[in-house]
Amino acid sequence: MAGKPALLIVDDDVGFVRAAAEIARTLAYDVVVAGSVAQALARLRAGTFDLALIDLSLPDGSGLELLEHIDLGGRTQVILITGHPTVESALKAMRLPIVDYVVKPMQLARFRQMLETAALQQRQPESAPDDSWHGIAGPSPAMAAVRQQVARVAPTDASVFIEGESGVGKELVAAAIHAESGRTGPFVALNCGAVPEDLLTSQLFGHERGSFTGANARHTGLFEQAQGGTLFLDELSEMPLHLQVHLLRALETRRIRRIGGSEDIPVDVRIVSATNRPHADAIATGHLREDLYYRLAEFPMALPPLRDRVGDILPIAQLFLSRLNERYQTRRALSREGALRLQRYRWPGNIRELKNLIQRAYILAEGELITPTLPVDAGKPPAETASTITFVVGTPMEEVERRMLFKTLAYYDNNKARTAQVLGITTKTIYNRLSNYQASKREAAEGADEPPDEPDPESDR
Amino acid sequence: MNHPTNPIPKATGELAGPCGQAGPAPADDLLTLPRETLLAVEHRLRNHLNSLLMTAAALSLRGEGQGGADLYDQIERDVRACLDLLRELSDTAA
Repeated sequence: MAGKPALLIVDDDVGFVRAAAEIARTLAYDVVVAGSVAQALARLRAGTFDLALIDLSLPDGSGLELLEHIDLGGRTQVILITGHPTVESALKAMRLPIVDYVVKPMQLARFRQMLETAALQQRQPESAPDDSWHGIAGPSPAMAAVRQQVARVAPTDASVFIEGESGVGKELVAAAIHAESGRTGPFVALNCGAVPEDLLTSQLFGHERGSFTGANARHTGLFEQAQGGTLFLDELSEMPLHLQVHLLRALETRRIRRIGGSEDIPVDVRIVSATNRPHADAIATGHLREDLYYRLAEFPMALPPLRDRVGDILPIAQLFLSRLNERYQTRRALSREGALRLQRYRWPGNIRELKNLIQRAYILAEGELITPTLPVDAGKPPAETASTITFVVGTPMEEVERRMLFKTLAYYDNNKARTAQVLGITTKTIYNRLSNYQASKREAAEGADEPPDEPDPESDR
Repeated sequence: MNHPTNPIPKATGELAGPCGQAGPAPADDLLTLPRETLLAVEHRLRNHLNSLLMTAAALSLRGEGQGGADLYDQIERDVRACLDLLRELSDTAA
C-alpha cells in the first residue's frame, strides 16, 4: 500500500490555508503550503503530490501558470479555487484536462469529499515486483519458498508432483522446473482432463499406422515428443485408471510402446504432474492410483491459493498491469480504492481470475486510474460441497449452466449418460456444450500466459 | 488575491432600473455600481467567507482540550473584514 496521500495548498489567504491544512491532516494527509506562484514552483520541484489545491489569484501571478509544471493526467490531481464566479465559465472554456474547480466559499463537506476522493484515487506504486522469477510472482514467504524449491529440484531428475487449486500457476511452476533443469529437450504439456479418454493413450504413447480405425499414419506420442525434455501432466487424476497403469509401467521401465507397435522405445523424459485436488482425496475416491502417486511424487510441492497470501495480490496485479501498459504503451495505474477491493476479495479462481479481472478493468478504464469491479457479494464466497452448487445473484446464465454441467459431471464420475438424465438434457447436448467450452478456452488461452487448467472432461462413460 | 486593499471605485449615484420592487422607487433610494466594483466586493467577500467557513470547520473538528482560541481569533478577523467591506461600500455610496 502507498503511504499518506500528499496535498499541496497554494493560496495567499493565511486563514484559509491554516484551516484547510488542519482539516486535511485530520484526514491523514501530508500537507505542504505555498503562498505564491514562486513558492509553489519550489514545492512542486521538491516533491510529488496526490492533490494540489490552487488559488487562481496569487500575489505574483495566476495559479494557472502552475499547471504547466504539473503532470496533468499523472499522479497529481488539480483543483483550482477562485473567488470569481465568472472564472468558472472561463475555465470550462479552456477545457483543461483532469482539472476541477471550486468557487469560494468552500464548504467543509465539499472539501472533505475532494480529499477523500483524491485519497481513494491515489495511484498505487507502479513498479512491478522484482521477485518475479520465471513468472512466479509474489513477495510472500510462501512464494519465496516455492521459488526456492523449484531452484533446488530443477537440476535433479526427481519427478515433481504439484498440488494446487485451479489458477494458482501449476504449469508456470512446471515450466520453470524445466527451464532451470538444463534438459535440452522440449517442455511438453498435456491436460489429461481435456483429452477424450480414447485419444489419451494415443496422445501419450503414439500409435502405428493401421493400429486402429482412423490411424492412417504413424503418430508420435507426447512421451517421444518430450524426449530429452520434460512432460507436464496436468489434472492427472482425470486420467483413466487403466491408463495410469500404463503410465506407471512406462515410468519404471523408461520405455514406451506405441499402440499397435511391436517394440519398446527408450525414453528420457522428466515427468512433472499436477492435480487441483488433494492427492489423498484423489486416491481415496479412486481417481488416482496410490502407487503412481508415490512414483510421481518424488518431490511433492503445494502451491498455496491466492487468498492465503494476501500480500501477493497487489504485486501480482501490478505485474499484470505493467505488462498491459508495456504492450499498449500506456501508463494506467491501480487506484487506492481498486487496491482495497482486490485485497478484500477471496479469489476463488486464484491468479488466473486476478489476471482476467485486471485485464477487464484495464479495457474498461476511462482514465488513467483503474478501479476493478469485483463479482457481487465478493466478500462472502459460497460454501459448496461435492453435491451442492451455489451461485451469487447476478451470475450470468451461461456461467450458471457451465458450472452446473461440470459439477454434475464430476459428481457422477464423468458419466455423461447419467449426467444428461439428471439434468434433463440429451447426451448430445452435453457433448456440444463441452466442445464449445473447449473452443472458448483455447481462444482465451491464446492470449494468456497460462493455459487454462480447469477440468474439461470429455471422456465417454 | 487575498483581501485586496485597493479602494472600492466610487458609485455613480445615478438612477438604476427596477430591481424587483413592487413599484418604482424614489431615485434617492437607488444606487448604480460599476460592474467592476461589484465584482471586486464579491471577490473579497468570498475570500473572507471562505476563510471564515473553513476556520469554523477546523474548529468544529478539534477535540476537547485542544483549544481553539487561535481559530476563533481568525473567525473574528474574517467577520470584521466582511463588515469593514460592507461599511466601505456603504461609505462609497454615501
